[in-house]
Amino acid sequence: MADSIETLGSYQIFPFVLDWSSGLKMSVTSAFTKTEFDGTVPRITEYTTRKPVTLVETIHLFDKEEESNFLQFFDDHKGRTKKFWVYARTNDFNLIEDINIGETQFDFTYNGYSDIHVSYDRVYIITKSGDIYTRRVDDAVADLVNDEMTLYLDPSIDVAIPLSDVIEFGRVLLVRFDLDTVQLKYHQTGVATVNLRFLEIPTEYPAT
Amino acid sequence: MTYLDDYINYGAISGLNARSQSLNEADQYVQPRDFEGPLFHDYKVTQSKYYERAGVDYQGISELINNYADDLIYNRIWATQEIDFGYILEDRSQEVYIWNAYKTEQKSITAFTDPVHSGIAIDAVTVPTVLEPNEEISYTVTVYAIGPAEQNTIYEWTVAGADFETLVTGKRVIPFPFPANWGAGINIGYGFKTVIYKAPTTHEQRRSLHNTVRRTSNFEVILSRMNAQKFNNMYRLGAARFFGVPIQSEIMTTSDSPILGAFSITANEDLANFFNLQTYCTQVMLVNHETAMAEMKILTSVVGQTLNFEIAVANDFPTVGTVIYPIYIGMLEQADFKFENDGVLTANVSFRESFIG
Repeated sequence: MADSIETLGSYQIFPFVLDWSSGLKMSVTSAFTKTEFDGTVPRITEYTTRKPVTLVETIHLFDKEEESNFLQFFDDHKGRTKKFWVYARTNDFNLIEDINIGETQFDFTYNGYSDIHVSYDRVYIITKSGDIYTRRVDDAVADLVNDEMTLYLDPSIDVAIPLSDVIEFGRVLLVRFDLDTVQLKYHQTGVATVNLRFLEIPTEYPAT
Repeated sequence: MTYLDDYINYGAISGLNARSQSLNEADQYVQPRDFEGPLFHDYKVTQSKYYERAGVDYQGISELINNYADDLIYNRIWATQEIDFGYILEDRSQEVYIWNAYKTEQKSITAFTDPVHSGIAIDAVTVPTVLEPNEEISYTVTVYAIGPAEQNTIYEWTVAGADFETLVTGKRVIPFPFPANWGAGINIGYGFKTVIYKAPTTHEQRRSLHNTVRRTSNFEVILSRMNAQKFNNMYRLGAARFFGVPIQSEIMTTSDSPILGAFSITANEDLANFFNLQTYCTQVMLVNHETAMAEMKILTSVVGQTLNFEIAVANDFPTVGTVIYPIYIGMLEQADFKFENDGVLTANVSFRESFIG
């Protein structure tokens, strides 16, 4: 099998592995104002339907090749200037059925995502064999009676994946580095630890 | 050369063609001519009697008569106006040229003033020195690795009654030859600068202010006896200096022997993934940490595992014990000293890269 990377356009995917032992920190920035006067009901003015997510994570570079690749990636993106994709690695969806060949419609346990879905959202699937599939979420429909939710993905998945083979089903975020600098903390000449901050830029997702 | 390029090499003369000269007449300027003399050294015009007298500029060119090129190139004295050595890592030399471009007249260097600055020397200049028609004479200017932080020296010449100045500039760099304490870890930072205009809706416009990283380094050194003394004095000297800062993560060793006199050194390591060396560094530093002897070299190329230098290695480095680092040019921002006893010094040092340009 092989990866099936779709709908991510020409932007690179951040290829380095998150260190879960250091934890993954996430925060959400809301863009709204609240107008309030004594004796009146507050009024909320929201500027955007999507709130940028900030991810703070640690990666380790274990040899000169990884170190060089990371520095090249950072150099290519000029600090905060250019955007790229990052797998959020937070396993955001709980799939409840096998994936069939050519399927575009997937059922999940309801988790509220359908309330915030926007059509440019991207998701990824990682299987036991290590293959990665990325798709755009065309629509999300809740079935509150059965506590389920259906996602419509575009394009279809062209292989069958048993439910038991799905390791992660999460979001792919379009981000940029949140800081213009990175510090490599070297333990040996090719072994280094790097703390990173990513900021989602929801207004720049490609439409398809 | 800029002046010549603009005026002679088709730019201005193309304008001349379009304006007032017939094609045939213009051809004699545009076509390569047998310039009699060493025309294309790195001259810059410092003094042109013709230029001052006639006020020649682009607007005036079309009014010139056919002997324009003769007047513009010949019948004048050419002298090197400026030599910028950039970052001075090692002893380097360049030539100052004086050319009597008069085709028939003998001219003389009648006065020369050397301000006798430290860190720089020029060949002895005898005055008067007669320059035969079309004769070029050159003098070697050498800047030394040891000298003031900024080299800024003006040599003054009087040739054919006109005054010329040759400005020699450079920024002196001293090597940081002490080994980092890997036990305490080494931090190397890479930074860009981005300006971001952000709307309340989270829309952004971003612009990168520079296209190459600025590096920072922070590490600890532990030094004893002579190295502690050397470091102590280097800090006093180096507070207002540019340093050649070793990038310890890309340390190299060699089996080459001898190193003295070598124009190239083959590293024992596979350099393919040495990002700094391959991408940003145009200089390296040879160091014998034991004696704190260091020499910085300008790289001309990295081919496979071989580092090629512009100038041969001047110091007698031992093969065993000598290491090579890519370096960046930076300033010592901070050094926190701690004397463990009267002969052992621990220091945390922080460097920040200066602009490359």
